[in-house]
Amino acid sequence: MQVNGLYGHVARNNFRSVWMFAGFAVAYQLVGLVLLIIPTLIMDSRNSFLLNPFGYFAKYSFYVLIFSVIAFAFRYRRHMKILEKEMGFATVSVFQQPRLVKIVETLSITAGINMPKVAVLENDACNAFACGLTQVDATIVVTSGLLRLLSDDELEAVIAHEITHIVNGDIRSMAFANVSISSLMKLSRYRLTFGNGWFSAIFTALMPAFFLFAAFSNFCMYVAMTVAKMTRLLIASSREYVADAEAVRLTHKPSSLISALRKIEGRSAIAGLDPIADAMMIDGAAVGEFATHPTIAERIAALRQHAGSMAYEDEAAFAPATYAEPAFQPAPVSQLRAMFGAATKTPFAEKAAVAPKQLYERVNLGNEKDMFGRTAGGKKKAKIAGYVMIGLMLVSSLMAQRNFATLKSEASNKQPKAAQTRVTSLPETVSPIEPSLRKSDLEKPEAHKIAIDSIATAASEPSGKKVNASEWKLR
Amino acid sequence: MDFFALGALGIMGFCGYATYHVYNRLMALDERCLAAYSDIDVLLKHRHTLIPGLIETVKGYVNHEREMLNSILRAQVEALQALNQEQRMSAEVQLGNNLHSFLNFADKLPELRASTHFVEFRNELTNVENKITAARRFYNLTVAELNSTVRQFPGSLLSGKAGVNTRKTFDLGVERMLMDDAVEVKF
Repeated sequence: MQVNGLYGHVARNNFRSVWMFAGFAVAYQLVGLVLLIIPTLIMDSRNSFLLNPFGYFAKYSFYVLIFSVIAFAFRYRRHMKILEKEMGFATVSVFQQPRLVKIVETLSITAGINMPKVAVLENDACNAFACGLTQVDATIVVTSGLLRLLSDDELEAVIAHEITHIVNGDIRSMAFANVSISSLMKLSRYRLTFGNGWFSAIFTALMPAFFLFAAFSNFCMYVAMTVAKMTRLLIASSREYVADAEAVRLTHKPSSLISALRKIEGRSAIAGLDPIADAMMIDGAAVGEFATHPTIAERIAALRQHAGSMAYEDEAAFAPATYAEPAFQPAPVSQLRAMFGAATKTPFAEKAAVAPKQLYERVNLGNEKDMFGRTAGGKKKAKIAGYVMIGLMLVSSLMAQRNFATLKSEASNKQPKAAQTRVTSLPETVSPIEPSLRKSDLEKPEAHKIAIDSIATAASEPSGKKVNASEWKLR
Repeated sequence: MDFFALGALGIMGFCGYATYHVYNRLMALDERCLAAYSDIDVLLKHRHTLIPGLIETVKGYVNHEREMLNSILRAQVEALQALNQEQRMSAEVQLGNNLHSFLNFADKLPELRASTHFVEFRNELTNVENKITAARRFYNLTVAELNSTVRQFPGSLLSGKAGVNTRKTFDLGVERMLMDDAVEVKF
């Protein structure tokens, strides 16, 4: 259905974040495929993936699904126990932080939830997050850097975003996604693989078939983990979009949220925060292994699209108050050269800084390993191992050729003698049924006819000698 | 079961799901409009509660401009007596305009500007006014979403039967033109 505004935007993202969990099922199937290749080859080769992929999926995908649900449930229970522990934040009261606590109070009344606990993290980074599993034990943590940076309206917009995360139970859905990924990682450790050390390099050089198999399983695992991370990014992103839109509903100030996001951009990284805490931050990594947020530019674009003219209000207020045109001064040649020299290098540097558009690029940015599980060092070793492998193959083929040649010459030397012995060693009687049939008779064209006739007579006589086909073939 | 029966079942299922989806969307949007309107309502009520205090504060200073205060009170009474939402909206717009012009006038009186009570009331009224503006714009945004969903294709089939109609936006209407007139500045 067409999205006409904020509500449609929220509804679409809610729908998307539920159905995206199918991505984890796909990832589990891929991991199951890799883990089951050898067992199925041994136990049930007729339905092994290598020999009969459709048969494999028809027979085993259901069991893999059940097993993955069980694996997930076990890990989820453990994860919940970790999350239930106190997060080490000191809560503040209205006397310590009147500005912050009053905003939280007003907004929690507006949103219709119990007032969450409020904590301030002494940190220069500008970020805020909600943690806690239920609405009752929810805590909103704000860094002191954020309190210093934002105006009241902007702070209100940020808090409304966090309160929406609490209302929607997004902490749980993030826990779901994180548990899925960690259980996939755990399961993927049981696959047949190669490491990045010398031992495995030599091993793969000696056993090329193993190398191929390990490369295949590593590739499958890479695809599975990429799918899982993309799924987490998509789910978390849609939760962020929903929280932004609902923050607009609570505060009626999309422009404040936009200016807050702009101020936060690039200053939001909190060093030493455990990624397992499933904290729902206002801004987090948009690229890399733990990517959970859309980029600020995407979020602002979404707000502008759905909040219409309301999103443009404070644009002028956000712009720097006084902008002085820098006076033009001719730069010395050395400086110009330095500038243009630098300019030739900047495109690459900028490329790394700008978030890639494609999702799979986004989640794999900064990943040390390539799609076959090789690090840079491992690749070098694998290359050397590959050369060794080719060398070994060359040497062995040369040796084989030489051996073959010697054998051939030996054989040609011995041929007449060997033929002689073979002919002489043949029994004079070649047919078990017709002893009268001689070797010399076989060269005559009517010999076969005689042989067939003799079989017919043997079969028709009940007392006759039993015909053994294999014996007959010996002829 | 043959292919056509399966296909017909699939199409029927799809139509059923689409109806369910569109109906729910329309209902949710309607409800959201009501909620957005009640957001404005709260603020309007807050403005109404400020008015008696304001009049109490300023009536000693404005002996000759009683008519202005009367017009404010009249607009307030009209808003309270309004029978439907549209009447109420136009009355509230009238009240807002009267308040606006009164505050502009009162700012020119040095005795009033010196009164801390008046300054407090003025600040509070301006604050409420800003909030009303934001809430009103959000209401308009919601109404625009509802209206376009009601008028667009799948919604247009169902909206009449579901009893969801387009709503009127809360805009400043004709008065807007008067407000947009350039303010005369005299020295």
